[in-house]
Amino acid sequence: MTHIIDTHCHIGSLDMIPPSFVEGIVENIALALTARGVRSKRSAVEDLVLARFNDPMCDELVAEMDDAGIDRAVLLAADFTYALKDCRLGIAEILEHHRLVKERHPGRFHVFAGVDPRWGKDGIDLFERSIRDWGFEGLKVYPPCGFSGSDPRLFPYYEICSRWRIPVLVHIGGTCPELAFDVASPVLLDEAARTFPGVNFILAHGSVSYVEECAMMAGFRPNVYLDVSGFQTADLSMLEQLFRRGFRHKVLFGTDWPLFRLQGRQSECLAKLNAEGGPIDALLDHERRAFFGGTVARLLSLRSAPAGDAQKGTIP
Amino acid sequence: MTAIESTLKMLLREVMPRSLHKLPLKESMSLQGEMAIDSIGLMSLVFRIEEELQIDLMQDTDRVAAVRTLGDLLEIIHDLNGAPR
Repeated sequence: MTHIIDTHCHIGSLDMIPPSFVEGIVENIALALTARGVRSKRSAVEDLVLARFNDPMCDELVAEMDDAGIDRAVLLAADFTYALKDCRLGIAEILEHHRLVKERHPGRFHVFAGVDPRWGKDGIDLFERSIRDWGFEGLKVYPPCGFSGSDPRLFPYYEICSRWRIPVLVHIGGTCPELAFDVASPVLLDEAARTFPGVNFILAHGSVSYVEECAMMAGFRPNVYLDVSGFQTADLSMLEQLFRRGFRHKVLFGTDWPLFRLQGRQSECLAKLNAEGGPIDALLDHERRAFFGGTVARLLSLRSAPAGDAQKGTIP
Repeated sequence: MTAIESTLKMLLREVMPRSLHKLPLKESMSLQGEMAIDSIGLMSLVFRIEEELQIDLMQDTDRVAAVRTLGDLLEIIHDLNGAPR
């Protein structure tokens, strides 16, 4: 039996994802509609998009996971609070909210905390506290906020990840137009991956953006993996080709909820992947199990408290 | 086939892949699954329905956002249009 773990989800709420981020999505949709010759009001497009960001406690997400047969999900708390000035909450409040969601749905979520490295020592302390005291299980890095994945200011975070043996998930590729794209290449993470061989890095959207570069990183760096989130709008033949590259054991299932909710329910997303003749049709049974959750479960299971933190290291 | 169903069929052809145009339509069909309408196509469909049928679908955004099947869509159209099904 396959236990399915969605490696890439976010809380669907404008308290976690700022309005300016969503406005970027709306802008691109409005342009696509205009290109089709469809007359639409921008406010109506915005309303349709925002209707998918109204799940602050993840009750809808859990219902959709149940419907799709997804056992668990990784909740990623990206920190936009330094780069985007319309964030409703501070990063400490955002992480605290993730803790509440984790407690509300016991056994369903693994939380990766994101903290912008420009918050200095306060940010590092907050991140370590979230790992040590709240049982968070990884770091989320969002380079488009204005720094490379190998920015030295991130190294104290990677040192904590190394001590706790927890993974880092790094956004790759384009995103909200308010943010920077010039730091979104996976190759920019190489220095960090080389410097911290004991830390496992997951390249988000690796089958969608910079696919060749992601394949090079995952194929040759033992500590680099990739997730397929965003496959909902991508050319699935790219994913099929990735699976022919010899590192099937490093490709992880993910959906990027709620960003692709307009593409259909989680069950429909899974059906798209599982379709006969689809991108994972050629996988052997053990490879399917690894893709749908086995590999990320193994990465998460490595977590162990460093000496001196043993008492507090147990995941509640 | 009613005038509304006929118009809807015409609008669906605008957003469905050509290879599916001859598919016999059933109310139970999933718009994004079996009918292969993508997210932009779905939004186009909403705005085109408003334009062609002169109804304000977006007065109930949550209901429109929750549409999954062709039947769901027909139900909203009939409710807002005040026409019996």
